[in-house]
Amino acid sequence: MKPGRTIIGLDLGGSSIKAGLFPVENSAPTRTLILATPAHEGCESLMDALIAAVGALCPEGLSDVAAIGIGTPGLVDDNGLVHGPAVNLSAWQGTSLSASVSERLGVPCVAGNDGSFAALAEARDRGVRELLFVSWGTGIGGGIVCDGRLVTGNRGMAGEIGHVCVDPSGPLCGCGQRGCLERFTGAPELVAAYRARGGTAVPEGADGALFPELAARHQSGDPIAEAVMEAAAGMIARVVGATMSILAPEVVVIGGGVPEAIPQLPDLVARALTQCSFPYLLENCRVESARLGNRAGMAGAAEAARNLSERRS
Amino acid sequence: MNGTALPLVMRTLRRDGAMPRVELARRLGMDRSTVTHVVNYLIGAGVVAEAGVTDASRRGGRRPVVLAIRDERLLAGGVELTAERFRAVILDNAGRLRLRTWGRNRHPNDPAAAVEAACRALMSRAVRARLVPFAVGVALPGIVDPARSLLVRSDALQVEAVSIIPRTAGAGSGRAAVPVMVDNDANCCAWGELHPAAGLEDLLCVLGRRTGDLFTVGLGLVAGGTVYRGRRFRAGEFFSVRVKPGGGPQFGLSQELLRLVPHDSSATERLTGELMESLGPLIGALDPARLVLGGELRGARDQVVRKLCSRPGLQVVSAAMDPVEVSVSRWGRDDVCAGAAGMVFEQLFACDAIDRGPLPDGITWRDAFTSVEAQ
Repeated sequence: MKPGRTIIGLDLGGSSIKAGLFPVENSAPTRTLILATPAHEGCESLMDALIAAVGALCPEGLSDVAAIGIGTPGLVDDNGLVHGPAVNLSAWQGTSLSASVSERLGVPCVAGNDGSFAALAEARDRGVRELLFVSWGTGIGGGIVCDGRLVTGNRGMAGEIGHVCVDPSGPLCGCGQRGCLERFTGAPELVAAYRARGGTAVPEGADGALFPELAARHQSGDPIAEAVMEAAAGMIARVVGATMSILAPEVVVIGGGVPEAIPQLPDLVARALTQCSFPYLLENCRVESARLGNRAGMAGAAEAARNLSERRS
Repeated sequence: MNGTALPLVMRTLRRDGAMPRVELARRLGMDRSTVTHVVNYLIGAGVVAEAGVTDASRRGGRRPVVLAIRDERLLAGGVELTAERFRAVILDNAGRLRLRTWGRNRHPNDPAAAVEAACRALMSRAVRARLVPFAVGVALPGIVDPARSLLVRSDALQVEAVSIIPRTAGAGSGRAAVPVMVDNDANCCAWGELHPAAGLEDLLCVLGRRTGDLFTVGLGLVAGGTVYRGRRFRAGEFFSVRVKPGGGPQFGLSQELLRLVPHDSSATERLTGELMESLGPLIGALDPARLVLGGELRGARDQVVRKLCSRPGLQVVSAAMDPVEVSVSRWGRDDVCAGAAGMVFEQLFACDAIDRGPLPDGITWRDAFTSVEAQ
């Protein structure tokens, strides 16, 4: 059988599924689409939505598709099995995602954590082999690329720095632990911290939805907003610094909705790193903003599919 | 014989154990004639043997002959060098320790000469015992570039940019020189956990070292089944969350207190407390299956387990998940030098052709055949 000439990258988010069709030989998609995620309708509906996304991308059939990559929130092991806790998409838990999709479509499939896949895409885009990616949004995630390969860890947990404990007596997190980094630096927590410090009254509503308001105040020079973001950058730097000491990466990439709204954040993190990382590691490491924005998960899923296709050929 | 089939056959026999030719051909997707050709070569070279027969197939007929690696003949050397001493071993492919030697480092200010002397001492014993290794791995404290055989920097040995001999003479008896491969000592401790073919994918090795009165910790990371060295070989540096990294001490605790580890339980308790507080973020970010304690930390397993279990938040994974396993290096006092030998085996089995290894001018299958012949 002739090997397929295209690959598909799917990024399954809490609100949307981003899908892209890519040539095997390069990372520019020839076709993309976005569908709504049926987040609260159970596993079958999620699976149907993925299949529908693939069908919409390839109305002419899948005979030319070499492999499919799927990025999803939650912990995904090397066999594509989703472990808990995927807070936004709890229906996936216990599902062997890659095997299920592969069985339904008859195409080899690889599944992984969306933050890890984003790390893979940012590494490929820069042509680097050692990269630490921080996804800073409503939650905190990330991914690690070592020697050009994705590090997934024993349970698919590697790179999930949002659940690194920074204060054992801190607030309870959705993962069951106390004092996770995410509970201090996620977008809703930043708004809560701004309120707690007596920041100018923000409109009532869910803290997460109010983050753009906080970002706007930061950009207009509100000193409390600046103090909140500086403290958060310091906490992120503390965990990144500890991880850097053992990984010695070439690049640390700060991505996600929070730094997109406040572009100075990578510089703030870099400055805070000088207090908690070896000088010689910093001399050989750049701290940069993400380049691929919300396309990173999809591009990384395609990259993982490309790697799978190469291994099989 | 100069193909790529030979390394594949050896890798399969090592990973999956003894099997008949027909099964090898099936697993590798090769012609039976190619496998037979390779196997005949390996039997002639003395590294593979026919080791009995399997049950007859359902269709009856002759019972297939099973092939196995001659583990006892594939030997690697490992050396641990510190400022005060060296410790060296010979391991075989099954992970059996066949020879052990040690001595004083008579060249504390000259690591190149010290490595040469330690390798010579090991080779001399090995030749007398007819246990000639195909290569010697050397573990050094500091930043090490294995590809250039270079000790980039070592605070413990107080040197920078020292070239280490890439080959050591075969004990001056006309024997071929064997390759020498260097790596960082904590990395070697981690390599030791991978040999022989342990199937481990992700682990974090924590090596406690003592140089004179100074107690330090180094880390070795195994990710995806191989030791990860990082950009410019700088991965694995440890610092406590209680100090500002760079130039100063590694721990907030005083060296006067650390000097008492591991013999004083109170000092060990305080050390493991600071250690685990600092390693928590790493365990969370890297998700290793196992935490391996080596060197001066071998006796601190119980304290480490207690710290991991007792402190809320330190385990940093979902409460529903199994905790990371904590173990002591299975090589005991030989953790670093046996690991250096383990590294050499991993390099050998990573070769993709008889005369081509992962490192330029490094270990190859040709070296292994030469050493087996010399035995």
